[in-house]
Amino acid sequence: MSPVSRVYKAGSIIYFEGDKAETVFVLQTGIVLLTYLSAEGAGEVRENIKSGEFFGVKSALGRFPREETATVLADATTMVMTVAEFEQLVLQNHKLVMKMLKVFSNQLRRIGKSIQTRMGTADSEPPGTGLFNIGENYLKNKKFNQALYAYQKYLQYYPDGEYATICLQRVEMAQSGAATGYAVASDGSSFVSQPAPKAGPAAVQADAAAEPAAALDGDSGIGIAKRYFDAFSLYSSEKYEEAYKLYRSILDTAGGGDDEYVEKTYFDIGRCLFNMNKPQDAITQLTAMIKSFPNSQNLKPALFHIGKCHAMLGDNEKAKGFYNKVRMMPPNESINKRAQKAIEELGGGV
Amino acid sequence: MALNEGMTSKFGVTYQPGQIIFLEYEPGDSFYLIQSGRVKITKVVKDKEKLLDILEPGDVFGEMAILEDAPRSASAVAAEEVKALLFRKENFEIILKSNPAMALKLLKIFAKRIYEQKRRLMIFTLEEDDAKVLDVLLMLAEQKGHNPNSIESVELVTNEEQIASWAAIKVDNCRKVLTHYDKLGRIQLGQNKISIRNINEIHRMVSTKRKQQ
Repeated sequence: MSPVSRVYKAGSIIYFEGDKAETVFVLQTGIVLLTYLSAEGAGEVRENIKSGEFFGVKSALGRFPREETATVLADATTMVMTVAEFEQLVLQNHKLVMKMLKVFSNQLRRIGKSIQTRMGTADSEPPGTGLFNIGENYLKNKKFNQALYAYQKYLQYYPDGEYATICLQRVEMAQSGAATGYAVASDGSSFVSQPAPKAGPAAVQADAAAEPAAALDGDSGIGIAKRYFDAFSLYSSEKYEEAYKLYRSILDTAGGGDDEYVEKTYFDIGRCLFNMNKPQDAITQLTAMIKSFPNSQNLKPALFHIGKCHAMLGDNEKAKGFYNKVRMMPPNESINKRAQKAIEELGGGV
Repeated sequence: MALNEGMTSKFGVTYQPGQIIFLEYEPGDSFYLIQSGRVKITKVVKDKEKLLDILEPGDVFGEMAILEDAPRSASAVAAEEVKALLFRKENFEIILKSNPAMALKLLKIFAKRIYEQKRRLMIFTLEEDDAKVLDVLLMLAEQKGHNPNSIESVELVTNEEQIASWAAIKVDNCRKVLTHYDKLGRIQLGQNKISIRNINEIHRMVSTKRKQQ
């Protein structure tokens, strides 16, 4: 635990770029020159170290290879310490740390700006717009509390910003969404029908909603399977409202009958409604499905979902009734166990 | 990191699971030291929320805000109940004085970050898209702890959009380059993953390109 003093002759090299870095140096007397290639592509950079200054700190601390070559210009005496010794020193000298932090942060900022410029991302999106768009993204994904936070922060920081008016409306939607699970403003407007601000996420959503509708033209019958899978994929990515619309369009054009996709679609619409926090509509849908397709493969899941809807509506007795049907229905598979568990969770004996 | 009682009572904050600590693009004038619980760092990229990191007790985050008045570059959300110390920009120096261990930790974080950022900049000093893409692959492999001089295969979890963005080139051009090297058998493209057959091969190609410039 003692740093050693080391003497170097003029012209010698203390370390080369790319060397393994294990020590930190303090120049006591003499002159040391650091040379390295500018990260910004501006050729070679030369930096003179004056007595009392540290060098080799960053690479030693960060445990990466030396980034520069240290050449002795005039006979030099250096203090050499291990990383552990340097850490000990730092822990006792807060002024030193502050100074180094400032140097490092300055470098970081400079490099950061350089990267931003090269990537063409510098100032591409003003922070206000960025914050608003984050809110839009959360709202779209039904993360209402997060959306609310973003809009409220926007209004806090940019009360006169270009999105302030629309933010006020969005706050309302997010609040109603948080309470009911469905985003509607007091004037009845829903999220999708809002004018899309510039090319924000709202515009993206409008496009996404328009796409399936366009796909309907002229492909009724043939494209049902494809559309079913498109809808299912929307459902899987939790885009319930978009999925719901597409599922509906399948029923509208399929013309009934015993097509397997119609049956699946009935069930999936029920699940969509459940996830859209419309338990009553979901019950109606799933009941209709059970009537139309009493031998459906999805019979048990449908009954289970009806149970969940009743639980959501607060009618635990009805919920338990449906769960119990599922529980008793052979064969005994995992959904039977889930039903049993759901009954227990509602505090009911079986 | 031992901290005295006084600091906790003065700077302690608690977040509930799922609560937002700050959002990307928010102006920031404070930084945090996690005492208990974990924090998710996320960013919305192309309409999707991506998880960048999970921070643990003892980790510091939001510290870039003390350097400049830049907005937050990512969002921080409590993954579980989180107890943290919240420090304002103006208290920074006072806090470091009473907590040198944290100062040291910050110094190390900065050193590491400068290195990583410089590495990113090196990609841009290459002229051809071809070389840039290869250098991105090399950088990603290095970040995973692979030595570019070793003869080994590396599997990266990434895709052409990400690589195009690192290289700051068009996605179409990036795809062309990747497909080209896939055909040559140097890399193998998969769903959100790219396998490098031999990292040293890529390293040599990039070095040659650098020297030719």
